[in-house]
Amino acid sequence: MIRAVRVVCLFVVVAAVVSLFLITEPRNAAAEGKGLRVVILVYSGRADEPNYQLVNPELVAQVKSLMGKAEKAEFKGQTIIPSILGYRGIMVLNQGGIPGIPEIFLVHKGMIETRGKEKSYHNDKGRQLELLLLKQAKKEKVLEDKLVRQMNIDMLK
Amino acid sequence: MKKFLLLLAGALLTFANSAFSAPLEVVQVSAPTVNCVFNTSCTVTVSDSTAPLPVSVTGTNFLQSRTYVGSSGAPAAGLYAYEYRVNLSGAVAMGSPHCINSLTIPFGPVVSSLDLNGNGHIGDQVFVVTGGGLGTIGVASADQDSSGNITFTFGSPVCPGTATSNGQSSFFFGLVSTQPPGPVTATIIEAGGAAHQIAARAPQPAAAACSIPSFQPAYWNDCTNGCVWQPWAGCGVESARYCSGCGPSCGFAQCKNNCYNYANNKRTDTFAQPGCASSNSPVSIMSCSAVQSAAMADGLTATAADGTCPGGMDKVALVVAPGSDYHWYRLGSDGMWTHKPGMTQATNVDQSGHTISDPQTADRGGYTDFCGYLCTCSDAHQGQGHANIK
Repeated sequence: MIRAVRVVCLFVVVAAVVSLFLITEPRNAAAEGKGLRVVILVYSGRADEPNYQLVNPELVAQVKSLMGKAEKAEFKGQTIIPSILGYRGIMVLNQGGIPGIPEIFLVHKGMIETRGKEKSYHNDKGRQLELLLLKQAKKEKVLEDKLVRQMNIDMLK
Repeated sequence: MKKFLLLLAGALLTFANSAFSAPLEVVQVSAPTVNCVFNTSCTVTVSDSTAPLPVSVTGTNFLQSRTYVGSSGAPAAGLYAYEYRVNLSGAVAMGSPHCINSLTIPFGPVVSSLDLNGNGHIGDQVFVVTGGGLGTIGVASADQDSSGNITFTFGSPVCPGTATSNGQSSFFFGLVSTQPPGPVTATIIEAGGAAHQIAARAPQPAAAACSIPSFQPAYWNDCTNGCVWQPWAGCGVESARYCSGCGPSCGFAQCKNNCYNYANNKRTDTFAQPGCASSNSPVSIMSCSAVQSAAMADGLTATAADGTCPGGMDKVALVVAPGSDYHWYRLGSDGMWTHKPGMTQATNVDQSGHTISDPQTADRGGYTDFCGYLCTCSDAHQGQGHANIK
């Protein structure tokens, strides 16, 4: 009798763990599938900035690695995004909730700005992160050569 | 439970109606008395217009709009009287009679500083000419909603004649306004609830007074943490952009308003696009001619480089990055130009950091096409421009 109770209890525990896995796993998979929304900030009047979804696991891993390596930095303005016409930087929205990457961060001219409850600034050494995101924007065909010239996206010229 | 919810819904509806409409003070007058308010010799020169009532009748029937203006020296000097009459007295119903219960007119502000019935009390708003005029049916109530529409409900329905009865007419009933008359569309409601539109005359809204704003970046630059981009929702809608770390209702001036908003000095919180207000479709071709046409359809008017905008309007300048984007500058009261690139901060300097005395010669980066100048009805108060943009 005691053995039968133990078997039932074990079955219940295993079933609960499996159910939990089944419930949470698809949600995580869906979130990971959204990846990062990368927005190139260039327009003044138009509302539909050039943007693409970064879901390639290797590229996401590179972004994560570069963010992890980025050293903290000082910045004396309100934001690294300037009030100018043309290319002003890149905004990345972590729509997939990928661990190790901030919910929102911006990249421009060697600086990274993370947003959320607390702002922080980091160095984008050699502008590696910015270049990675811009090159991918070209591959995704959201940045045509004409737009690169007009908006003065110096790194892609 | 269902009954309770129905009762609750009814109560809420009643509350909503009462919250958004206000009863006007209705008084009865004789024709000579009210005439004396508008003319020291107690005679007025009226202007009449009529429109046939859209109900199934034969014979004479109409809504009459009558206006006259107060002459010098009279208590209502310079003010405009508006009188209306629903007349079915010469009409015969085709089939069962359709009677008229109420009339709604877009009227706007009502003058309430007059003693219209001569009883010594000021504050009369609606007068019903029950003596010395035409008609037999009075006004039971007059209620004005928050949009300025006034609904006159008759004491009893005004009905056309039948085989056994004569048709009826309301008394003249009227109000006073500071604004001159113009055409409007009124609504009559039948006793059965059917609504019909009908031409009438009513006060025209006062023309917006245009004025020129100064450069006050603090009004627009209210997002110290920087804006967050989200996909655009469409004409007249901008629910997604927000100011990070700012809360649910702050930072909107900067994040939800672009160069078109700023140049027109009109905060819409919709990231306004040329063409949205006029055709509900944003301009899609990024050329001088297309963007300028869309802006002009929104109500902006073209002017020459050395032209001065009429009527206190402000001068704005349009530039284009051909095939990619457009941008606007506005002229400030100090004679210098300022602008707001997208959802970034409003600024008074160009790409090179120089203040802008002429956008045609300023450093504009890739916005190489200078399209020209237009006029917009702006306002000295930030964000309160009068242009029709969305």
